Amino acid sequence: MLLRELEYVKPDSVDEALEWLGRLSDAGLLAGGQSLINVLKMRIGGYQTLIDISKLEDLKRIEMVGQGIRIGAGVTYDELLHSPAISLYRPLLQEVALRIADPQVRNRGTVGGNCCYNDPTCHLPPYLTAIGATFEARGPKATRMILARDFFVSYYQTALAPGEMLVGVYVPIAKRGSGDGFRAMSVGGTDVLNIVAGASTVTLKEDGTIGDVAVVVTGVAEHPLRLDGVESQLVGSSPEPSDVRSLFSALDTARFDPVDDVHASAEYRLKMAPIFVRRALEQALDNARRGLRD
Amino acid sequence: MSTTVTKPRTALWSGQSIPRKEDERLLKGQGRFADDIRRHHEAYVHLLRSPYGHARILSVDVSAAEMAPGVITTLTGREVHALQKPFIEIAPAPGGAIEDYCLAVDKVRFMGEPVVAILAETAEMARDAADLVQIDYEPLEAVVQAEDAVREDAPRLHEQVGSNVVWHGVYDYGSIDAAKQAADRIVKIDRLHFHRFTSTPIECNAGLVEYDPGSGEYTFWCNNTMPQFAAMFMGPALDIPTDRLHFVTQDIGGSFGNKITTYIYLTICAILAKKSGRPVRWTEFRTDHILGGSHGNERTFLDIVVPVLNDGTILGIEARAIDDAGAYPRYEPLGAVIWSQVVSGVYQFRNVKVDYTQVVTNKCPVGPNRGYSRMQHLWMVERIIDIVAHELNLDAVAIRKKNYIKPEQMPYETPNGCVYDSGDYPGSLDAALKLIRYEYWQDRKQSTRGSGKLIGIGIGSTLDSGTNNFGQARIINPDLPFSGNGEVSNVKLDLYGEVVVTIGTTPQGQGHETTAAQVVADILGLNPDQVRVLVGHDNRRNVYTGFSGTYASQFAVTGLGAVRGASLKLKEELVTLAAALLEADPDEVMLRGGTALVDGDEGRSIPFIGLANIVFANNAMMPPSLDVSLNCTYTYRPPFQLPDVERKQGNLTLTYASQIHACVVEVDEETGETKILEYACVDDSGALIHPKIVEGQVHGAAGLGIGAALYESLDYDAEGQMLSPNFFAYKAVTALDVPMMKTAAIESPSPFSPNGAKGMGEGGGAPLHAVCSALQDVMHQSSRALVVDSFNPSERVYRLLHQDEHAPRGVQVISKPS
Amino acid sequence: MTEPVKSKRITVTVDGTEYTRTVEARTLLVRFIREELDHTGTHFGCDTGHCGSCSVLVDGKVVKSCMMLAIQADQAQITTVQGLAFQDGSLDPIQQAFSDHHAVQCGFCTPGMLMATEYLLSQNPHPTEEEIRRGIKGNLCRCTGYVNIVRAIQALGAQEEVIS
Repeated sequence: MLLRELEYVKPDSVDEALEWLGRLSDAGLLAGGQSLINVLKMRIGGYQTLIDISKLEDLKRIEMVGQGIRIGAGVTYDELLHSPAISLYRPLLQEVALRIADPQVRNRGTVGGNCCYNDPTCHLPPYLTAIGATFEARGPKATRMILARDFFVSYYQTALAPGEMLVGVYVPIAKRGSGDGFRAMSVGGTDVLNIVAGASTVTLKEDGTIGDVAVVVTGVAEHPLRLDGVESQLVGSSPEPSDVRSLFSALDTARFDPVDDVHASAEYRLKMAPIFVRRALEQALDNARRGLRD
Repeated sequence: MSTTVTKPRTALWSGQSIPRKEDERLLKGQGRFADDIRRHHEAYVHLLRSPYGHARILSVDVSAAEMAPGVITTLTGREVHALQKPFIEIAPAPGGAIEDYCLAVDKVRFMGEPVVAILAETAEMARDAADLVQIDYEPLEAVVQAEDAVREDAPRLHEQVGSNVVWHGVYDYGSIDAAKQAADRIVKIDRLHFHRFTSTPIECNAGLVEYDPGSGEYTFWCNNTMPQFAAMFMGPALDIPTDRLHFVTQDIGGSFGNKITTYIYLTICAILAKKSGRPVRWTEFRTDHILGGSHGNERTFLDIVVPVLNDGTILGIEARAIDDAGAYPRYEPLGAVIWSQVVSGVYQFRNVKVDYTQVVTNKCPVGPNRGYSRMQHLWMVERIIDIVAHELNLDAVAIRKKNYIKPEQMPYETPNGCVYDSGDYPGSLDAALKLIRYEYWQDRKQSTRGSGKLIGIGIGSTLDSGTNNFGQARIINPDLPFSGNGEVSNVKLDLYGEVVVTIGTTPQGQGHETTAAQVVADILGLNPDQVRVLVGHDNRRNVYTGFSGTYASQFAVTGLGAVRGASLKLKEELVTLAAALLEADPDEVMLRGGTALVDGDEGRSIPFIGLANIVFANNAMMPPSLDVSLNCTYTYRPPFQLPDVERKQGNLTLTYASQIHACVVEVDEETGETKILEYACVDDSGALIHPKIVEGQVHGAAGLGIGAALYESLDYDAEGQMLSPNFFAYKAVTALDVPMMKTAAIESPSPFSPNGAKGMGEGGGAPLHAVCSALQDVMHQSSRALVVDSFNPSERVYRLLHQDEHAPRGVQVISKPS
Repeated sequence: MTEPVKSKRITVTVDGTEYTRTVEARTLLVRFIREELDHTGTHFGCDTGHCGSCSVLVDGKVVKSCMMLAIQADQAQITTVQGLAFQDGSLDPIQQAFSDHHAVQCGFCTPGMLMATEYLLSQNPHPTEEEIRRGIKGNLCRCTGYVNIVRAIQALGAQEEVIS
C-alpha cells in the first residue's frame, strides 16, 4: 500500500506520451492501473516515472473502420460493455468483458492494459487471438500493425518495442455464419482466476460446413496457442458433438507446458485445457449455427 | 426464516428484531474503527518481516535505516530480548519452555515473523527505511507438515523444548476396546485432514499506542477482542502491573477469533511508544495480516477406528489427532482441550479414545478461528458418519437419525461429563431436508446421471458450544489458575435520568448495543431507544472481568446475563426509591416509559430524571433509610465446577446451540467444478433475543464455511514459504459463490442460561461437513473415493472423481464373525 | 509539456466540499482520503484491490480507491459513504434498506458495499439476483454470507424509484 517514491507526468496527447516514453529511462504507461498499481504496492517492480494516459481522449474511441471496429487502447471494459458497435458486431467480446473481475475494475481497467499486461490469466489475449485482431502500435516515428498471433510473445511480454505504445485494437466484424466462443476455468470461485481458457471463432459456409476456424488455448504456454492441427481437421467438416469430443480427447498436448503454482497444478491445467478449448469451440459452433439459421 | 418456538414469549422487546442501534453510524461511515484513531504527533511503525520459514539471524544492521529521512527509532529482536520478558506460555513443560518475544530473537520460525520495527514520521518513510535494513540469515531446514514435526529426526523449532511437541494427552472415555468387541464390523480410516484456513475479517489489526510517563500507563486504541487476556500476557512481559494497560475498543471490523492474539504486536508498539515518547500508530495491511496474524488450526486424524453394528449404530471412535499450532503456541494449547466440549458431537456413542498431540511447525501461529477447535473434531465425526454410510451402503439420513441424541434425552450428559442443555437434532434435520427439497433432489440425482453432471446431497450436523468453563484449561495444565467464566455489566441512571449501560465485551457485528438495550428496556419499562449502551472494552470507563471480550459464542448468556442482573438491581433501587418518595408499597410501583408510577393510581409518579436528581444532586431529600446509588453492577457467573483433571471429565460448556445444515451440490464430472444448488441451515440457539441478528450470524458462519470448504486455503511449500499471503491467492469467497441460503430456527430454550438463550455465532463449521458429505454422495455414484480432506477445490474433486479404482482407498471394513 | 513531478497540488471535491492539497505522486487515493482528508468512513481491507471496502464514486463511477493514485483524481468529483445521507442526516434509501434487512454486521465492508450498490442501481435500477451478485462481486464481506445484502438490494430493485 506504500509505494516507492514516484514521478508522474500526465501528457496531453499520444505524441507527448511517446515523447516521454522515449526521453525517460525508467518510465511506464499508466492506463487503468488495475494491475500496475498492485505491482507498485508490492514494490516488486514498476517504474520510476508513470506516464498517465488514462484520460487521453484519442485512446478512448470505439469506431467503425472498414470491416472492423477500432477499439482505442484506453477503452475500459465498462465502455466495451456499453458500446452499441460491439454489441452489434462482436457481441461475445461483451460476454468476455463482463467476466473480468468486478465493476470497480471494469470501470478503470482497459483493453490495452489487459493486452499489454499479457498475464496468462488475462481474458482478452486468447479471445483476440482467436478472432484475429490486429494491434496498432505507435512508435516515435511510425505506426505499425501487429497481428494478434505475433503480438503476445511470452509471459508479460508483447511485441511492442521500447518506446512504442499500443494505441488501438482492430477487431474484425463478425461475418454472417460466424460465431465466437470463450470458456475459462476459474479457480477459487466464479470468475475469480482463470487457470486455463479456450477461445474460438467459427465461420460456416451456407452448407453448414466449417469454412474458417480458429481454436486458441491459453494457460498452458507462454502465450495463447492456436491449435492449427485441430483447425485443419475441422475445416470443411460439419462436426457432430461426438466428433468434437473425440477430436479433443485425442488432442496432442505435446506443446503444452503449463505452470504449476498455488492456484492449480500443471497436471490439472493440462487436463483442463482440452476441455475448455473444446467447450469454447462448441459455443462458437452453436453461435455460428444459430446465426446461419436466423 | 421460519421459527419454531417451544415456549411462549412474555417480553416486549426481547425476541423482536428491532432496528440495530449500531447501524446508523456504520452506514454513514461514522463508525470508529481502530485505524480511524488519530493522535497529535503520532508516528508510524513499519514491521520488517522474515522472508524465510526457518532461519538463524546472523546479524541485523539498522544503522542505515536509522539515518534515513524521518526515522525516529528502530527496534530489533536483540533489544526486545533486553526490554521484554518472554510471554507466558499456557502449556506446561516441555512446551511451556518455548520463549516467545514480540520480535524474533536470533532465529525466525515462520515467514512473516516480525524481525525489525521502524518508527518514522510518516508511514511511507518507515516503509522506505525498511529497505535499508541489512539482515543476514542462515536458512534452516523447515518443518511444515505436522506429521513430519513429530518425527524424532525432525528439525527443532525451539531447541530448548527437545521436540516439536507442545502438548500431548490421551482422552479415553467409556471403553473403546469393549466397543470393538461388541461391534459387528470395524471401519478403519487411514487419514483425515482438516486444512488450514482463516475466517479472516476484512478489517486487519490496528493499534494506536500511547505511553504516559507520568502514570506509567499505556493506552491501546485497538481492535483486540479479548483485551484482558492480552493484558495477562503483556503485563508480565513488560514487567508492569496489568492495570497500567488501558485498552480502548469501539467498532471492530470482524474478528472471528483472529484478533485475540494481537498482544504480540501491541507489545511492539508499547515498547516503541516508551522508547520514542510518541504515540505509535500501527496499520496492518492484508499481506501482513495473512502472513503474521492468526490462522485456524490444521489437524490431521490418523488411524481412525470405528466399531459399528450392522444396523448402522456407531459404538465409538478411536483416533490419533495431530494438531498444527504453527511456530508459537500463544492461545494454544487451549484448543487441545476445547474440542472435547463436543466429544461425541450430536451422537449417542459413548466410547471415545483420542490420542491428541499438538506440534509447532514453521508456519504462522494459529489462534481461535470461528468454530475454534470443535469444528475440526466435529468435521471428523461427520466424515466418519458419512464414510461408514458409504462403506456399508447405508442411507446418510437414516444413519444420522439412528445415532442422533434424541430430544427426550435432553439434558444429555456426554461421556466426558459435558451436559447438552436442550435441542432437537432429528427435528432440525427434517426441517433442513424440507428446505432443500430433499425428495425432489433424490429423484433428480438419478435422472441427472449420465449428463456429465452429478448431484450430491449432504448433511452437516454440528454444535456450537458456548460459555466455556475455563477450568478446562487445567486439563491442559493443572497449574493454571482458571475456572468458570463470567461477564460484568453496569447499568445506571446518569445525572439526569439517562439509562447508561456498560459491558466488558468487544462486539464485531453481533449487535451488543441493540440486544443489551432490549434486555434493559424490558426490565426497566423503557423503549430500547431510551437506553444508551457504551460499546467496546474500555477499562477506564467500562466494567470488565478477566473473561471480558467477544469470543467463543457466549454473549447471549454471559453478556446479557450480566446486563439482566444489573438491570434487575437497578430496577429494585428505582422501585424502592420511588415507593418511598411516592409513599407507596414497592409492590405497587411499576416502571413505564422512564417514569415510576403507582399501579392503578398513575397520577402518583416520578420520572427517572426526578429519581436521579434526588440521588445525585438533591440528596438531602433522600429518604433517610434508603441506600441506593442507581449505579448497579452485576457479574454473571455460570454454575460451573472444576473439572476432574485426571479423568479429563467435567462440564466444559454451559450451552449447546445446534446447527443442522443440508445442501445439494452439482459436480461437473469432466472438471470437478462444484456448484451449490441448495443450501439450508436450521439452527437451535435457544430463546432468541433478536432473531434477525441470530439469523445473520447463521448466514455469516455458513458463508465462511462454504468459502473454507471450496475456495479458501492457507498453503505453504516445503521451505515454509507462504503461497497465499494475499487475496489474490487466498480466494475469499465472493457474492457469486454463496447461494441464497434458506434458514429456519428451532427454539429449545436452555434450562441453564438466565434467559433461555444459547451462545451462538461460530456455527461449528457446518458447511465444511455438509459440503464434504455431499461430495461423498457424489463419489458414491462414481469412483467411490473417500472425501478425506476438508478443502475440496475443483482440482481435488477432479482427482477424487478420477481416482483409480485399484488405488488404495484409505478405508477398510473388517467384518467380525457373528 | 509539463515535466514529471514527485508531488503536485490537486483539487478534488469530496462529498460536496472542495479540497486543494499537495500530494505525493505515490499516494493512493484511499490513503489521501483517509490520512490527508481524515475521511475515515472509507476503509481498506486488503492491498491487492480485492476487498472493495475502499470503493468510492469518482465522477459517478465506482472504483477502488486503492487502485488509483490520488494525483489522478485531480479535478474529480468524489463521493464516499460520508456523502450518501440526506442533508438533514437521515439515511438515503440504500442505507435504509441495508438497515431494514440487517445487511450490516460489523460495518467494515459496508461503506464500499454501499458505494457498489449505489453504482449498480444507478446503472441498473431493477437488477436480477445474478446481476446484484455480479454488482457486488468486488466487495468482500465476511459477516453476512452476502444473503441479507443481496436481499436489501433486491428490495431496492423492486421499488419504482430508487435514486433520488
